[in-house]
Amino acid sequence: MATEGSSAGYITHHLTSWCVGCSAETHQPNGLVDFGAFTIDLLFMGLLCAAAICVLGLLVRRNLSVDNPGRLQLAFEGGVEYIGDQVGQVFHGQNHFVGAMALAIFMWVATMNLIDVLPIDLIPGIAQVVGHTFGAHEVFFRAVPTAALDTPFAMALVVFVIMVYYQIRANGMSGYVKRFLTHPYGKYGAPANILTTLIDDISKPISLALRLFGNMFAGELIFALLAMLSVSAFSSLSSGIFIWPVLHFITGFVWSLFDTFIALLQAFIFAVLTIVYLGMAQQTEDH
Amino acid sequence: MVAITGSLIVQILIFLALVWFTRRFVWGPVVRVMDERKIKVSEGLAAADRGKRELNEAIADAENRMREAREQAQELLTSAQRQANETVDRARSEARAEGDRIITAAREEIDQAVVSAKAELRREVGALAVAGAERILKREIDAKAHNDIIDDLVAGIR
Repeated sequence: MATEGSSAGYITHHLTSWCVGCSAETHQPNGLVDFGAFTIDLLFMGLLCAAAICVLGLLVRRNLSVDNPGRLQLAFEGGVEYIGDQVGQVFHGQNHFVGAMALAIFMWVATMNLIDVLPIDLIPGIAQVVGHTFGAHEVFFRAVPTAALDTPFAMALVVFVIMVYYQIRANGMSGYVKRFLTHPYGKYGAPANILTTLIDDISKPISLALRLFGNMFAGELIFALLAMLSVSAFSSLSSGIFIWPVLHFITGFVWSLFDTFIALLQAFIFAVLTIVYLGMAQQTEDH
Repeated sequence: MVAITGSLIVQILIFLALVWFTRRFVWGPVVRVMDERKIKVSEGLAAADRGKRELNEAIADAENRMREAREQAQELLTSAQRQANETVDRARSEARAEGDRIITAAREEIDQAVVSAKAELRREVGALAVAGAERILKREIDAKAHNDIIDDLVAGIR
Protein backbone atom coordinates (compact mmCIF):
# COMPACT_ATOMS: atom_id res chain seq x y z
CA MET A 1 0.00 0.00 0.00
CA ALA A 2 1.15 3.45 -0.75
CA THR A 3 -0.25 5.03 2.38
CA GLU A 4 1.28 2.38 4.54
CA GLY A 5 1.12 2.01 8.26
CA SER A 6 -1.68 4.10 9.64
CA SER A 7 -5.18 2.71 9.80
CA ALA A 8 -6.60 6.08 8.77
CA GLY A 9 -4.43 5.87 5.67
CA TYR A 10 -5.82 2.44 4.83
CA ILE A 11 -9.39 3.62 5.09
CA THR A 12 -8.79 6.90 3.30
CA HIS A 13 -7.12 5.02 0.48
CA HIS A 14 -10.17 2.79 0.19
CA LEU A 15 -12.54 5.72 0.10
CA THR A 16 -10.64 7.67 -2.55
CA SER A 17 -11.71 7.32 -6.14
CA TRP A 18 -9.59 6.94 -9.23
CA CYS A 19 -10.52 10.35 -10.54
CA VAL A 20 -9.50 11.84 -13.86
CA GLY A 21 -9.66 15.61 -13.80
CA CYS A 22 -9.54 15.92 -10.03
CA SER A 23 -6.93 17.94 -8.19
CA ALA A 24 -3.64 16.07 -7.95
CA GLU A 25 -3.12 16.57 -4.21
CA THR A 26 -6.57 15.90 -2.72
CA HIS A 27 -7.90 13.53 -5.42
CA GLN A 28 -11.19 15.41 -5.11
CA PRO A 29 -13.09 17.49 -7.69
CA ASN A 30 -12.12 21.14 -7.94
CA GLY A 31 -15.05 22.92 -6.33
CA LEU A 32 -18.73 22.04 -6.03
CA VAL A 33 -19.33 21.87 -9.75
CA ASP A 34 -16.61 20.24 -11.81
CA PHE A 35 -17.81 18.71 -15.03
CA GLY A 36 -14.25 17.83 -15.95
CA ALA A 37 -13.93 15.36 -13.10
CA PHE A 38 -14.61 11.73 -13.88
CA THR A 39 -14.38 8.95 -11.30
CA ILE A 40 -13.25 6.25 -13.68
CA ASP A 41 -13.52 3.41 -11.15
CA LEU A 42 -17.19 4.07 -10.34
CA LEU A 43 -18.08 4.59 -13.99
CA PHE A 44 -16.27 1.40 -14.94
CA MET A 45 -17.95 -0.69 -12.25
CA GLY A 46 -21.36 0.83 -13.01
CA LEU A 47 -20.96 0.07 -16.70
CA LEU A 48 -19.74 -3.44 -15.90
CA CYS A 49 -22.85 -4.11 -13.82
CA ALA A 50 -25.12 -2.63 -16.49
CA ALA A 51 -23.40 -4.76 -19.11
CA ALA A 52 -23.83 -7.87 -16.98
CA ILE A 53 -27.55 -7.11 -16.67
CA CYS A 54 -27.79 -6.57 -20.43
CA VAL A 55 -26.12 -9.90 -21.12
CA LEU A 56 -28.44 -11.63 -18.68
CA GLY A 57 -31.42 -9.87 -20.22
CA LEU A 58 -30.42 -10.89 -23.74
CA LEU A 59 -29.93 -14.46 -22.52
CA VAL A 60 -33.44 -14.51 -21.10
CA ARG A 61 -34.85 -12.89 -24.22
CA ARG A 62 -33.22 -15.43 -26.52
CA ASN A 63 -34.64 -18.38 -24.59
CA LEU A 64 -38.09 -16.94 -23.93
CA SER A 65 -40.70 -19.67 -23.99
CA VAL A 66 -44.43 -19.62 -23.37
CA ASP A 67 -44.80 -23.31 -22.66
CA ASN A 68 -41.52 -24.28 -21.07
CA PRO A 69 -39.90 -21.36 -19.24
CA GLY A 70 -36.44 -21.87 -17.77
CA ARG A 71 -35.43 -20.93 -14.24
CA LEU A 72 -33.88 -17.65 -15.31
CA GLN A 73 -37.01 -16.72 -17.24
CA LEU A 74 -39.18 -17.61 -14.24
CA ALA A 75 -37.01 -15.41 -12.01
CA PHE A 76 -37.41 -12.51 -14.44
CA GLU A 77 -41.13 -13.19 -14.76
CA GLY A 78 -41.43 -13.12 -10.99
CA GLY A 79 -39.72 -9.73 -10.89
CA VAL A 80 -41.75 -8.35 -13.76
CA GLU A 81 -44.98 -9.64 -12.25
CA TYR A 82 -44.24 -8.20 -8.79
CA ILE A 83 -43.23 -4.80 -10.16
CA GLY A 84 -46.18 -4.88 -12.55
CA ASP A 85 -48.49 -5.46 -9.58
CA GLN A 86 -46.96 -2.55 -7.67
CA VAL A 87 -47.24 -0.26 -10.68
CA GLY A 88 -50.79 -1.45 -11.29
CA GLN A 89 -51.80 -0.60 -7.72
CA VAL A 90 -50.31 2.88 -7.83
CA PHE A 91 -51.20 3.80 -11.41
CA HIS A 92 -54.63 2.13 -11.65
CA GLY A 93 -53.51 0.53 -14.88
CA GLN A 94 -50.26 -0.58 -16.42
CA ASN A 95 -47.37 1.78 -17.04
CA HIS A 96 -44.68 -0.16 -18.82
CA PHE A 97 -42.12 2.62 -18.75
CA VAL A 98 -42.23 3.02 -14.97
CA GLY A 99 -42.26 -0.75 -14.54
CA ALA A 100 -39.24 -1.20 -16.75
CA MET A 101 -37.44 1.63 -14.97
CA ALA A 102 -38.13 0.11 -11.55
CA LEU A 103 -36.88 -3.25 -12.80
CA ALA A 104 -33.75 -1.64 -14.24
CA ILE A 105 -33.16 0.20 -10.95
CA PHE A 106 -33.57 -2.94 -8.90
CA MET A 107 -31.27 -5.03 -11.07
CA TRP A 108 -28.60 -2.38 -11.44
CA VAL A 109 -28.57 -1.27 -7.80
CA ALA A 110 -28.67 -4.85 -6.51
CA THR A 111 -25.73 -5.83 -8.72
CA MET A 112 -23.68 -2.79 -7.72
CA ASN A 113 -24.53 -3.22 -4.04
CA LEU A 114 -23.55 -6.88 -4.05
CA ILE A 115 -20.02 -5.97 -5.14
CA ASP A 116 -19.74 -4.77 -1.54
CA VAL A 117 -19.73 -8.37 -0.37
CA LEU A 118 -16.69 -9.26 -2.45
CA PRO A 119 -13.43 -9.11 -0.45
CA ILE A 120 -12.72 -5.45 0.08
CA ASP A 121 -9.20 -5.58 -1.33
CA LEU A 122 -9.99 -7.88 -4.26
CA ILE A 123 -10.99 -5.45 -7.00
CA PRO A 124 -8.80 -2.57 -5.78
CA GLY A 125 -5.95 -5.11 -5.53
CA ILE A 126 -6.44 -6.18 -9.12
CA ALA A 127 -6.60 -2.52 -10.16
CA GLN A 128 -3.38 -1.91 -8.22
CA VAL A 129 -1.55 -4.71 -10.01
CA VAL A 130 -2.82 -3.58 -13.40
CA GLY A 131 -2.00 0.05 -12.58
CA HIS A 132 1.53 -0.80 -11.45
CA THR A 133 2.27 -2.77 -14.60
CA PHE A 134 1.32 0.35 -16.55
CA GLY A 135 3.67 2.37 -14.37
CA ALA A 136 1.17 4.18 -12.14
CA HIS A 137 2.62 5.10 -8.79
CA GLU A 138 -0.50 5.01 -6.65
CA VAL A 139 -3.79 3.46 -7.74
CA PHE A 140 -7.05 4.41 -6.12
CA PHE A 141 -10.02 2.21 -6.86
CA ARG A 142 -13.46 2.12 -5.27
CA ALA A 143 -15.36 -0.96 -6.27
CA VAL A 144 -18.91 -0.16 -5.10
CA PRO A 145 -20.52 2.58 -7.26
CA THR A 146 -23.52 2.95 -4.94
CA ALA A 147 -21.23 3.74 -2.00
CA ALA A 148 -20.42 7.03 -3.72
CA LEU A 149 -22.86 9.86 -4.32
CA ASP A 150 -22.76 10.01 -8.11
CA THR A 151 -24.61 6.84 -8.96
CA PRO A 152 -27.50 7.15 -6.46
CA PHE A 153 -27.98 10.78 -7.42
CA ALA A 154 -27.85 9.98 -11.12
CA MET A 155 -30.83 7.68 -10.69
CA ALA A 156 -32.63 9.97 -8.25
CA LEU A 157 -32.28 12.94 -10.63
CA VAL A 158 -33.76 10.97 -13.50
CA VAL A 159 -36.64 9.93 -11.24
CA PHE A 160 -37.06 13.55 -10.16
CA VAL A 161 -37.23 14.85 -13.72
CA ILE A 162 -39.85 12.25 -14.63
CA MET A 163 -41.71 13.14 -11.42
CA VAL A 164 -41.92 16.79 -12.46
CA TYR A 165 -42.92 15.76 -15.98
CA TYR A 166 -45.73 13.56 -14.63
CA GLN A 167 -46.94 16.34 -12.32
CA ILE A 168 -47.12 18.78 -15.21
CA ARG A 169 -48.71 16.19 -17.49
CA ALA A 170 -51.41 15.38 -14.92
CA ASN A 171 -52.30 18.93 -13.85
CA GLY A 172 -50.97 21.15 -16.59
CA MET A 173 -48.39 23.91 -16.14
CA SER A 174 -50.90 26.09 -14.29
CA GLY A 175 -51.82 23.24 -11.98
CA TYR A 176 -48.14 22.65 -11.26
CA VAL A 177 -47.61 26.30 -10.34
CA LYS A 178 -50.89 26.43 -8.42
CA ARG A 179 -49.77 23.52 -6.30
CA PHE A 180 -46.65 25.44 -5.28
CA LEU A 181 -48.71 28.47 -4.34
CA THR A 182 -51.65 26.90 -2.56
CA HIS A 183 -50.77 23.40 -1.62
CA PRO A 184 -50.67 22.64 2.08
CA TYR A 185 -51.95 25.85 3.75
CA GLY A 186 -54.50 27.33 1.34
CA LYS A 187 -54.17 30.34 -0.93
CA TYR A 188 -53.23 32.89 1.75
CA GLY A 189 -50.12 31.05 2.88
CA ALA A 190 -48.30 31.36 -0.44
CA PRO A 191 -44.69 31.90 0.82
CA ALA A 192 -44.95 29.04 3.28
CA ASN A 193 -46.61 26.96 0.59
CA ILE A 194 -43.78 27.49 -1.86
CA LEU A 195 -41.21 26.53 0.75
CA THR A 196 -43.12 23.49 1.95
CA THR A 197 -43.91 22.17 -1.51
CA LEU A 198 -40.32 22.76 -2.60
CA ILE A 199 -39.05 20.75 0.37
CA ASP A 200 -41.73 18.17 -0.27
CA ASP A 201 -40.56 17.68 -3.85
CA ILE A 202 -36.81 18.04 -3.40
CA SER A 203 -36.69 15.77 -0.36
CA LYS A 204 -37.89 12.82 -2.42
CA PRO A 205 -34.91 12.42 -4.77
CA ILE A 206 -32.49 13.47 -2.04
CA SER A 207 -33.79 10.93 0.45
CA LEU A 208 -33.86 8.33 -2.32
CA ALA A 209 -30.22 8.92 -3.15
CA LEU A 210 -28.89 9.47 0.36
CA ARG A 211 -30.63 6.38 1.77
CA LEU A 212 -28.90 4.15 -0.74
CA PHE A 213 -25.58 5.97 -0.52
CA GLY A 214 -25.60 5.98 3.30
CA ASN A 215 -26.35 2.30 3.62
CA MET A 216 -23.76 1.21 1.10
CA PHE A 217 -21.10 3.67 2.28
CA ALA A 218 -21.56 2.44 5.84
CA GLY A 219 -21.37 -1.16 4.68
CA GLU A 220 -18.14 -0.53 2.82
CA LEU A 221 -16.70 1.42 5.74
CA ILE A 222 -17.44 -1.41 8.16
CA PHE A 223 -15.77 -3.92 5.83
CA ALA A 224 -12.74 -1.63 5.75
CA LEU A 225 -12.71 -1.33 9.55
CA LEU A 226 -13.00 -5.11 9.93
CA ALA A 227 -10.19 -5.59 7.43
CA MET A 228 -8.01 -3.43 9.65
CA LEU A 229 -8.12 -6.17 12.29
CA SER A 230 -5.90 -8.21 10.02
CA VAL A 231 -3.99 -5.28 8.55
CA SER A 232 -2.89 -3.91 11.91
CA ALA A 233 -2.14 -7.37 13.24
CA PHE A 234 0.32 -8.04 10.40
CA SER A 235 1.82 -4.56 10.33
CA SER A 236 2.82 -4.57 14.01
CA LEU A 237 3.84 -8.00 15.19
CA SER A 238 2.22 -8.10 18.61
CA SER A 239 1.66 -11.08 20.86
CA GLY A 240 -1.98 -11.74 20.03
CA ILE A 241 -1.35 -11.84 16.30
CA PHE A 242 -3.48 -14.90 15.61
CA ILE A 243 -6.58 -13.60 17.34
CA TRP A 244 -7.14 -10.71 14.97
CA PRO A 245 -7.41 -12.53 11.63
CA VAL A 246 -9.77 -15.07 13.22
CA LEU A 247 -11.88 -12.27 14.62
CA HIS A 248 -11.74 -10.57 11.22
CA PHE A 249 -13.01 -13.75 9.58
CA ILE A 250 -15.93 -14.22 11.99
CA THR A 251 -17.07 -10.59 12.00
CA GLY A 252 -16.51 -10.30 8.26
CA PHE A 253 -18.64 -13.38 7.66
CA VAL A 254 -21.48 -12.07 9.81
CA TRP A 255 -21.32 -8.63 8.22
CA SER A 256 -21.30 -10.18 4.73
CA LEU A 257 -24.58 -11.90 5.47
CA PHE A 258 -26.10 -8.73 6.84
CA ASP A 259 -24.72 -6.59 4.04
CA THR A 260 -26.14 -8.96 1.42
CA PHE A 261 -29.50 -8.43 3.01
CA ILE A 262 -29.02 -4.66 3.09
CA ALA A 263 -27.81 -4.63 -0.52
CA LEU A 264 -30.95 -6.37 -1.81
CA LEU A 265 -33.24 -4.47 0.53
CA GLN A 266 -31.88 -1.08 -0.56
CA ALA A 267 -32.24 -2.00 -4.21
CA PHE A 268 -35.81 -3.07 -3.52
CA ILE A 269 -36.60 0.11 -1.58
CA PHE A 270 -35.18 2.32 -4.31
CA ALA A 271 -37.27 0.55 -6.97
CA VAL A 272 -40.50 0.55 -4.98
CA LEU A 273 -40.15 4.17 -3.86
CA THR A 274 -39.54 5.17 -7.48
CA ILE A 275 -42.89 3.60 -8.37
CA VAL A 276 -44.62 5.23 -5.41
CA TYR A 277 -43.17 8.71 -6.04
CA LEU A 278 -44.02 8.56 -9.74
CA GLY A 279 -47.49 7.29 -8.90
CA MET A 280 -48.02 10.21 -6.53
CA ALA A 281 -46.73 12.61 -9.17
CA GLN A 282 -49.26 11.60 -11.80
CA GLN A 283 -52.26 11.98 -9.52
CA THR A 284 -54.52 14.91 -10.33
CA GLU A 285 -55.09 17.51 -7.64
CA ASP A 286 -58.80 16.90 -7.12
CA HIS A 287 -58.02 13.25 -6.61
CA MET B 1 -16.18 15.01 -1.82
CA VAL B 2 -19.68 16.26 -2.48
CA ALA B 3 -19.65 17.75 -5.95
CA ILE B 4 -21.53 17.73 -9.20
CA THR B 5 -19.09 16.14 -11.59
CA GLY B 6 -18.85 14.73 -15.05
CA SER B 7 -19.29 11.28 -13.51
CA LEU B 8 -22.81 12.21 -12.51
CA ILE B 9 -23.67 13.05 -16.12
CA VAL B 10 -22.14 9.83 -17.38
CA GLN B 11 -23.92 7.75 -14.73
CA ILE B 12 -27.20 9.38 -15.73
CA LEU B 13 -26.52 8.39 -19.34
CA ILE B 14 -25.64 4.85 -18.32
CA PHE B 15 -28.80 4.65 -16.25
CA LEU B 16 -31.00 5.97 -19.07
CA ALA B 17 -29.42 3.49 -21.48
CA LEU B 18 -30.08 0.68 -19.03
CA VAL B 19 -33.70 1.76 -18.58
CA TRP B 20 -34.13 1.87 -22.36
CA PHE B 21 -32.53 -1.55 -22.69
CA THR B 22 -34.68 -3.04 -19.95
CA ARG B 23 -37.86 -1.61 -21.47
CA ARG B 24 -36.97 -2.77 -24.98
CA PHE B 25 -35.32 -6.14 -24.42
CA VAL B 26 -36.43 -7.43 -21.02
CA TRP B 27 -39.70 -5.94 -19.78
CA GLY B 28 -41.49 -5.91 -23.15
CA PRO B 29 -40.69 -9.49 -24.24
CA VAL B 30 -41.26 -10.93 -20.76
CA VAL B 31 -44.62 -9.19 -20.41
CA ARG B 32 -45.58 -10.38 -23.88
CA VAL B 33 -44.69 -13.97 -23.02
CA MET B 34 -46.63 -13.79 -19.77
CA ASP B 35 -49.70 -12.38 -21.52
CA GLU B 36 -49.43 -15.04 -24.19
CA ARG B 37 -49.26 -17.73 -21.55
CA LYS B 38 -52.25 -16.26 -19.73
CA ILE B 39 -54.29 -16.43 -22.93
CA LYS B 40 -53.02 -19.93 -23.62
CA VAL B 41 -53.94 -21.16 -20.15
CA SER B 42 -57.46 -19.75 -20.31
CA GLU B 43 -57.86 -21.21 -23.79
CA GLY B 44 -56.59 -24.53 -22.51
CA LEU B 45 -59.06 -24.52 -19.63
CA ALA B 46 -61.90 -23.66 -21.99
CA ALA B 47 -60.79 -26.43 -24.33
CA ALA B 48 -60.68 -28.87 -21.42
CA ASP B 49 -64.24 -27.90 -20.45
CA ARG B 50 -65.38 -28.24 -24.02
CA GLY B 51 -63.65 -31.61 -24.29
CA LYS B 52 -65.33 -32.88 -21.13
CA ARG B 53 -68.73 -31.75 -22.38
CA GLU B 54 -68.11 -33.33 -25.76
CA LEU B 55 -67.00 -36.54 -24.11
CA ASN B 56 -70.21 -36.67 -22.08
CA GLU B 57 -72.22 -36.01 -25.19
CA ALA B 58 -70.36 -38.72 -27.05
CA ILE B 59 -70.94 -41.20 -24.23
CA ALA B 60 -74.67 -40.41 -24.21
CA ASP B 61 -74.74 -40.70 -27.99
CA ALA B 62 -72.97 -44.04 -27.88
CA GLU B 63 -75.39 -45.34 -25.27
CA ASN B 64 -78.34 -44.23 -27.41
CA ARG B 65 -76.92 -45.93 -30.43
CA MET B 66 -76.24 -49.09 -28.51
CA ARG B 67 -79.80 -49.21 -27.22
CA GLU B 68 -81.13 -48.62 -30.71
CA ALA B 69 -78.91 -51.33 -32.10
CA ARG B 70 -80.05 -53.75 -29.43
CA GLU B 71 -83.70 -53.01 -30.19
CA GLN B 72 -83.05 -53.40 -33.87
CA ALA B 73 -81.31 -56.71 -33.32
CA GLN B 74 -84.19 -57.92 -31.19
CA GLU B 75 -86.62 -56.91 -33.93
CA LEU B 76 -84.56 -58.64 -36.57
CA LEU B 77 -84.39 -61.77 -34.46
CA THR B 78 -88.13 -61.80 -33.93
CA SER B 79 -88.92 -61.31 -37.59
CA ALA B 80 -86.38 -63.93 -38.60
CA GLN B 81 -87.94 -66.39 -36.20
CA ARG B 82 -91.38 -65.59 -37.56
CA GLN B 83 -90.12 -66.03 -41.09
CA ALA B 84 -88.50 -69.32 -40.21
CA ASN B 85 -91.70 -70.56 -38.62
CA GLU B 86 -93.65 -69.54 -41.69
CA THR B 87 -91.18 -71.26 -43.97
CA VAL B 88 -91.33 -74.45 -41.93
CA ASP B 89 -95.12 -74.35 -41.88
CA ARG B 90 -95.28 -73.78 -45.60
CA ALA B 91 -92.83 -76.58 -46.26
CA ARG B 92 -94.79 -78.91 -44.03
CA SER B 93 -98.13 -78.16 -45.72
CA GLU B 94 -96.55 -78.47 -49.14
CA ALA B 95 -95.02 -81.78 -48.18
CA ARG B 96 -98.36 -82.98 -46.89
CA ALA B 97 -100.11 -81.94 -50.13
CA GLU B 98 -97.44 -83.64 -52.18
CA GLY B 99 -97.80 -86.79 -50.07
CA ASP B 100 -101.55 -86.73 -50.52
CA ARG B 101 -101.15 -86.33 -54.23
CA ILE B 102 -98.74 -89.25 -54.46
CA ILE B 103 -101.04 -91.44 -52.38
CA THR B 104 -104.03 -90.55 -54.55
CA ALA B 105 -102.10 -91.33 -57.71
CA ALA B 106 -100.92 -94.64 -56.27
CA ARG B 107 -104.49 -95.58 -55.33
CA GLU B 108 -105.74 -94.75 -58.79
CA GLU B 109 -103.03 -96.91 -60.28
CA ILE B 110 -103.89 -99.72 -57.94
CA ASP B 111 -107.59 -99.40 -58.81
CA GLN B 112 -106.73 -99.43 -62.50
CA ALA B 113 -104.56 -102.48 -62.05
CA VAL B 114 -107.35 -104.19 -60.14
CA VAL B 115 -109.91 -103.29 -62.85
CA SER B 116 -107.63 -104.55 -65.65
CA ALA B 117 -106.79 -107.69 -63.67
CA LYS B 118 -110.51 -108.34 -63.15
CA ALA B 119 -111.20 -107.82 -66.87
CA GLU B 120 -108.36 -110.24 -67.73
CA LEU B 121 -109.59 -112.74 -65.19
CA ARG B 122 -113.15 -112.48 -66.53
CA ARG B 123 -111.94 -113.13 -70.02
CA GLU B 124 -109.85 -116.03 -68.99
CA VAL B 125 -112.58 -117.45 -66.78
CA GLY B 126 -115.08 -117.16 -69.72
CA ALA B 127 -112.66 -118.98 -71.96
CA LEU B 128 -111.97 -121.61 -69.31
CA ALA B 129 -115.70 -122.11 -68.67
CA VAL B 130 -116.36 -122.54 -72.40
CA ALA B 131 -113.47 -124.99 -72.69
CA GLY B 132 -114.73 -126.88 -69.62
CA ALA B 133 -118.26 -127.09 -70.90
CA GLU B 134 -117.02 -128.32 -74.35
CA ARG B 135 -115.11 -131.07 -72.62
CA ILE B 136 -118.18 -132.02 -70.63
CA LEU B 137 -120.53 -131.94 -73.55
CA LYS B 138 -117.99 -133.33 -76.00
CA ARG B 139 -119.22 -130.99 -78.52
CA GLU B 140 -118.81 -127.61 -79.60
CA ILE B 141 -120.87 -125.05 -77.93
CA ASP B 142 -122.04 -122.32 -80.03
CA ALA B 143 -120.52 -119.51 -78.18
CA LYS B 144 -122.87 -117.19 -79.78
CA ALA B 145 -125.91 -119.07 -78.56
CA HIS B 146 -124.71 -119.27 -75.02
CA ASN B 147 -123.10 -115.96 -74.80
CA ASP B 148 -125.68 -114.66 -72.41
CA ILE B 149 -125.06 -117.64 -70.04
CA ILE B 150 -121.29 -117.05 -70.13
CA ASP B 151 -121.75 -113.39 -69.53
CA ASP B 152 -123.91 -114.15 -66.53
CA LEU B 153 -121.17 -116.46 -65.26
CA VAL B 154 -118.45 -113.94 -65.74
CA ALA B 155 -120.47 -111.24 -64.14
CA GLY B 156 -120.81 -113.56 -61.17
CA ILE B 157 -117.01 -113.33 -60.67
CA ARG B 158 -116.54 -110.04 -58.93
